[in-house]
Amino acid sequence: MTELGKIKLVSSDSQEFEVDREVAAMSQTIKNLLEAIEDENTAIPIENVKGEILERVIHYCEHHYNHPSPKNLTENENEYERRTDDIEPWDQTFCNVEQPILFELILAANYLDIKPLLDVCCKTVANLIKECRSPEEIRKRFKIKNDFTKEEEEEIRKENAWCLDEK
Amino acid sequence: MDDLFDVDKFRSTLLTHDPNYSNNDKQNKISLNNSPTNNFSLLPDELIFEIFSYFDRPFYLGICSCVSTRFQEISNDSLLWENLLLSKKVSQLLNFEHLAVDRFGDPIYTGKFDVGYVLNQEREKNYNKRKSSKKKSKMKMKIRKEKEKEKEKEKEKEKEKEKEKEKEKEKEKEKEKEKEKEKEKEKEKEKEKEESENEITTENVEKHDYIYSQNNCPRSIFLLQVAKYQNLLQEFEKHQNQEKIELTLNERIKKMANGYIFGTLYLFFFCLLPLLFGLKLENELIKDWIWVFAPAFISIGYFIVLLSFIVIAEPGNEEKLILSFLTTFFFLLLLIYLKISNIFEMNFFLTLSPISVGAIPICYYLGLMIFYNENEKEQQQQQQQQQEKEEESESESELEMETEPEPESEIQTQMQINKDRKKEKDGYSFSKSNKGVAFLNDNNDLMEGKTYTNDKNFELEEISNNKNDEKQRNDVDYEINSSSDNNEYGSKNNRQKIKPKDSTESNFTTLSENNEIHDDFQSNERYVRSSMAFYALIGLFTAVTTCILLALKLDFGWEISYMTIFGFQIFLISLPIILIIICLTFFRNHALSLKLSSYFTICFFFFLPYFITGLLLLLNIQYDAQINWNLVFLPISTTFMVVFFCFLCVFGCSRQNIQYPDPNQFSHDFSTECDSIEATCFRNNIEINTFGNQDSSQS
Repeated sequence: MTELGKIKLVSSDSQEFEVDREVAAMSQTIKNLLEAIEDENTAIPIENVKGEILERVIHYCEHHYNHPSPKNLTENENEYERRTDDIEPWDQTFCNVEQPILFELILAANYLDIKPLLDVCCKTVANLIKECRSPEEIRKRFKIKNDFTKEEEEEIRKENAWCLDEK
Repeated sequence: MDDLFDVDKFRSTLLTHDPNYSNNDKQNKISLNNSPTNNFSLLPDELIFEIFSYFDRPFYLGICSCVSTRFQEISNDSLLWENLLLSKKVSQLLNFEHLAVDRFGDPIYTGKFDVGYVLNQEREKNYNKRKSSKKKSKMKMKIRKEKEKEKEKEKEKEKEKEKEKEKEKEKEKEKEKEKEKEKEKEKEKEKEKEESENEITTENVEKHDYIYSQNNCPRSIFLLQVAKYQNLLQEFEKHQNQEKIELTLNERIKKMANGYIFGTLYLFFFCLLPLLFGLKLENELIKDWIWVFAPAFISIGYFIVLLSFIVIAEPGNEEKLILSFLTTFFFLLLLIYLKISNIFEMNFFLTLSPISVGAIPICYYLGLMIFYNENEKEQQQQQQQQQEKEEESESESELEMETEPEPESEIQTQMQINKDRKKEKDGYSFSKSNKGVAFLNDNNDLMEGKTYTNDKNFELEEISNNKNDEKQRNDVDYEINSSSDNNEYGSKNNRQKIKPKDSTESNFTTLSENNEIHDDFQSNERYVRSSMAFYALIGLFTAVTTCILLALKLDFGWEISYMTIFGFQIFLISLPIILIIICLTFFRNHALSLKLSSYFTICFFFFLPYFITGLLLLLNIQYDAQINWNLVFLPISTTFMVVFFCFLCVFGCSRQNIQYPDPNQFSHDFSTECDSIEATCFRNNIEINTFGNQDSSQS
């Protein structure tokens, strides 16, 4: 039996987490599920998210539930303006994890539909890419295979000479 | 910083609470952390797109497109570029210095390449390769050379004729002219050389290939995309700033009104002068001389009014000011001479002084009209040249169509290639013009009849005039046809773009049209100013003449008459000015109404009184001092003119409605616009050409 106002989340590796209903409702997916389920005691399975990741997600939600961040006023100024330098310090440390976890967090945030978390993770990855000054660096950093043929690569190098020269 | 997230602490607390958290899970975590796989492979395209959308510089997108095929596909998404380039940061970063018109020299020598230039070279190269028939290209070259020779011959004939005429007329200056001609010839030769170098011939194909390899196409593609979205941004901002533009217009009008208030103040003092002379001094000499100096006073008033315009509203109008002032000064000297010589009686001066006063605005107005006529002539000449060039280019394209039809199978294969590439690539080209940069897509369509310039002063207007719309549509149709020709035969437009000067003149008639709109706007303002100054004078003129009329007709004593005159003067002077200011402030000014009112004013106000005055003088009628028909006629004509002007203003304002596009629908319109352009491309079997090497390899 779960406590009043709490729900049980079950990760893909069958770990169970008790979370406040309102905290869990930060995820749009869970919120919709809760509205659909009548019995409050039933555990909600979250099959696409591992326990470790779900744990982090819950922690993120709890923190932001208790410390709601003020709305960014600059967002409305220009809808095309998407900044990466406005990550809060807590979020920065939260996202300061190894790449696989970060990518898992992105997937989890996307699956659970937690927009602020998704934004923060995406911004972090964008910042990681920004730190690289060449395609090779990006490949090394993210362990990406170069699947271009030699001809294609030459061609693409020619195409993107404008940015490769910019260094 | 107590609130910072400590993962280990949190994990330990959870583990203590949760008995299910086993050692296996820890091992899983370790394996997760050390996974050697590509992290991005976990993410779907949408999420990678989301990450890329946080890039604030095109540089990052460019680099990402070099990483892998997947990255390349995602980073080439047009939405991504659109959002990126619509951001303020990027728009500030991109100054487009390389697109500045003045910096364009010969691209071959300067190394600065117009994107259209580069692309067209690529096209030319590809088309030639694709066709792979040397005979065709040789035939084309021959036809071109023949045409060029013919043109050169015609030019030479014309020049010879001109030379002969000049020699007959100016024998003394022959030597100098010969030198000049020699210089011109040298320049022409140089130009011809440059043109021949620019043309794609069998000889200089290698050179162009080299240039091509130096200046890669993708850079131009990027620039095109940047240009496209920069354009979009400019337009968007202009729409946002519409209200500001309107405000500045009102401010200008207010400034002009201030100028008139300044002028009116002078007129007030001018009205006080006769009062002082008449009431206090009562000197007969002064009474006589006041009418001699009246034009001088008026001219000073006029000078002040114009000075206020120049200082406040419009600098650079000094010539007209000097002209008007000099004419007044001339008339003043004339009148002084006539008065001193005592040839004429007082009545003559009463008649002549209004004439001399009237001569001032007439001179001003004539100067204005001459100035505008010159401008119109220039514009007409430019239009004629453009038309001639268009006709020539059309005839060329027709000839090419007739000579070399392309087999259908090639068209079908191209269609397939185009369809494959449709999703991947957008190709846009632009060319430069003398007045700005206009942007075209691959078909050289002007985007939905809109043109764009870098000129800050250029007022972006959705072209609501049907005439302009029709012209632009015609242009678009023409360009589509011609570009379809290009695709198959790769000559006309390519050649035009390889010769940048020709291409700009022929392709951007719409630009000049919009500049005409801009000129109209400026001329509109000038007409307002000139006509307002003109009406201020009329008010003064009417007041002075009417007060004289009243003084003479009603047979008041001087004291009473001047007091009456004073009030009446103020009323008459202020009335038209107030009416005009009201008309211009509450209703918008428009060129047509103002021009018409100006012409009618000249006819009704000046010519008729002048005619009558001149007639009276010629007939030497000894008319009574109490009845001066010229003076009687003036207030009537003035009143008529003011009423007519106000009517035209109101009527013209109500007729002309400028429609601006809705900024909210802007982005939607743009996307649909792009789709429609692409659709026309494929309908006309036009390749959206970005990568030349692929073309050749696939064909």
